[in-house]
Amino acid sequence: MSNDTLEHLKQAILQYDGDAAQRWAKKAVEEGIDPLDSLAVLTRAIRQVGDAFGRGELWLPDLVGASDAMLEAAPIIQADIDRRGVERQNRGTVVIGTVKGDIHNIGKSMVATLLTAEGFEVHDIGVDAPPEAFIAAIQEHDPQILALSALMTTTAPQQKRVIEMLREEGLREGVKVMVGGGGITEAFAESIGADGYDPTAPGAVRLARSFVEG
Amino acid sequence: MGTIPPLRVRSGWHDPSSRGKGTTVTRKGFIRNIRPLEILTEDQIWQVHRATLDILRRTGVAFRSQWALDFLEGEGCHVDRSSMRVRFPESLVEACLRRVPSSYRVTARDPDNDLILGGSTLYFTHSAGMQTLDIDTYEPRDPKKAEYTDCVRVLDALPTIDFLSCYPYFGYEGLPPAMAIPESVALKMRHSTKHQFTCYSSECEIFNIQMAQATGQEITGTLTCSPPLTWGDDAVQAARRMIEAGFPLATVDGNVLGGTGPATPLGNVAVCNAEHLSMIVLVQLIHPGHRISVGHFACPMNMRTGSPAFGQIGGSISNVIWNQMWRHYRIPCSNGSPGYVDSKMIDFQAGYEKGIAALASAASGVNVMLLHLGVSAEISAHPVQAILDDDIAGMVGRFIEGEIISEETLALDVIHDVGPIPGHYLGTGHTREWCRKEQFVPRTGEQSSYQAWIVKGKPSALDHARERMTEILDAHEPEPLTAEQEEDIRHILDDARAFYRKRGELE
Repeated sequence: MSNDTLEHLKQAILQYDGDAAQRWAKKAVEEGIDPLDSLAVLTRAIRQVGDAFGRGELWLPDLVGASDAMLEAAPIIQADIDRRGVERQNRGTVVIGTVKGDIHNIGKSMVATLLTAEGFEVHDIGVDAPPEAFIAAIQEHDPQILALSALMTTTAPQQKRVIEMLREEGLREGVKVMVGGGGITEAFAESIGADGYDPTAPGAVRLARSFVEG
Repeated sequence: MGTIPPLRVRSGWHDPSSRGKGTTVTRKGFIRNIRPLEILTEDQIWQVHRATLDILRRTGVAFRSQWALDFLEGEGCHVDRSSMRVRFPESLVEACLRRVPSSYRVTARDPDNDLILGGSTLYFTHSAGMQTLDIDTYEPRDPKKAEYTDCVRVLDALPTIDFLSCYPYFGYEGLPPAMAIPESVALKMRHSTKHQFTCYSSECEIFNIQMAQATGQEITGTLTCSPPLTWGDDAVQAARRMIEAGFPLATVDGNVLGGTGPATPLGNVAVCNAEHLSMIVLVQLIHPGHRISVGHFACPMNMRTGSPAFGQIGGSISNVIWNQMWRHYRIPCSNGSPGYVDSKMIDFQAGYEKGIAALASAASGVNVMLLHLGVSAEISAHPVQAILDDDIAGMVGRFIEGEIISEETLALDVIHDVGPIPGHYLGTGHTREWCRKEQFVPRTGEQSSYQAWIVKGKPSALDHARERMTEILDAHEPEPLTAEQEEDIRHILDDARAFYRKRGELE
């Protein structure tokens, strides 16, 4: 029963069980379930966790557990979408990365996962990314949003450097810049000329939605 | 890497590390005279040590430096090139541990400010903030250069600041990010005669070293790990340059419990130990006996925001375990987290967060503690907070100095002389002699009688701290650099600007 399969898939995310998520995603493909329906289930599950996190009922390890579980299932569903040639509604394109000198991955990857779940096309250029890498990715993917992560306060000024380089290259007007990371504040984001900041991953998704929805 | 470019300075380089021979002048700090607070039994110390060796041998530590991989492989480590991971034989780790000096001198521009790190001595220094803040509205903002300078002058004046740490602010208005560290180092050399710890970015250690050489002092180079278990190429490069210059090093971790370290303080200490020991092995293989200390900068993660929860007590538990381990290793150790708080204001929360953390660290035998200046996590800092923290440092320092146990302090003779009422101790020579030695009187804490306090307009400790800042800035002017040293500094900063322009990091 496809409904049972999708419910199991949802429960796997809610129980942070990556193995089960992978298993039920494969089962959904085998059963010929519309991959867009499967993807919608994943999105609803991750949003449910995100909402509970927003209310303070769940903590970050829960959010990471759910997004890790989703990462196990999502590529399987995405491959089915590609195979069938189904058109997926794309909310927008995001280039994301952790700035030069900082090799922290957790926060950036969580935001990337949640953005993917939300229907964004996400290009993750990884960690310790120099400003030139962000510029190259923008030129290649033409995103609406650039997301910059920096966990360490010592590397936060690199976010400013990327924004400066966007201006130098004449790319600043075409892209909304959102910044995040442990040491970043609203005031700092404003001072470096970013368009938005949120301290949490679900908040970053809301911010991205507001950028593309106007 | 290349070597450090030759100095083009007029004032010339003389080796201040030789200053220690034949002289005992140093900053006193506080000498711990109480038994250290401990959490681990002797068996448990060995259990953590074995766990650390196990991490180094089985999981290993990533060095994102081809040079380090080649070098460590040549010295008998197992290197996995694809993951850049180095696994360390236990015997090599133990041998390198034994090479580290258990205490050593570091020099300052003024010999009275030299330090001897290690043993039972506790030195205080300051933390840092990305920006300053308005202490009426508590909104952070970039400091002006004059405010940056004033902050350094206050830090130089405060008696419990034994040396200056990195920054105090990450920059000031109009300062390009590429020059933030070299300009900060120069500014501290101009406005303080104390030793300073320095950080690095984009190879700025070259210019930091040159400025220290030009002004006849040492700097300590901090090496910051990227937790968990990873060292960047820039840290390796900075270590090699500092070793070449003959300057001391200080490794710093920064694991957030539950994020970049295990959620349990014990596991976190084991991971941090592995991070430090891996760099100690590298440093001691390059230069046996090189002066190096280790810095623990741990706190739990705020599981609702992902930010470090600096004010939580978990950081102190980790510090106490850590301090016990490194006292066991006999390597000078520092704690960074007491200098940072979750409070967003200079208030009760900031006071209890710093006070409790400082007491736990000091009582457990740490040699260096970051305490002063930080207001809101790593976001902001302010000299008024540093002035208040000066009192916390004074109280905590006095506490660990404990009590001299002697017939004089037991005071039996005077007890017999005074006897019961109407006898009293106020007029005795014993009281006159000992009250000043025994008491630490806070400078900013409100100490007046209630009536006097009303008459004075009900001032708070914060009011007193603001007044004291004005007094310090009116009166304190540290010995300036000589004209030659000043010119050398200007040339070195010009070289730095040219260096960063060439690299496209500066317009």
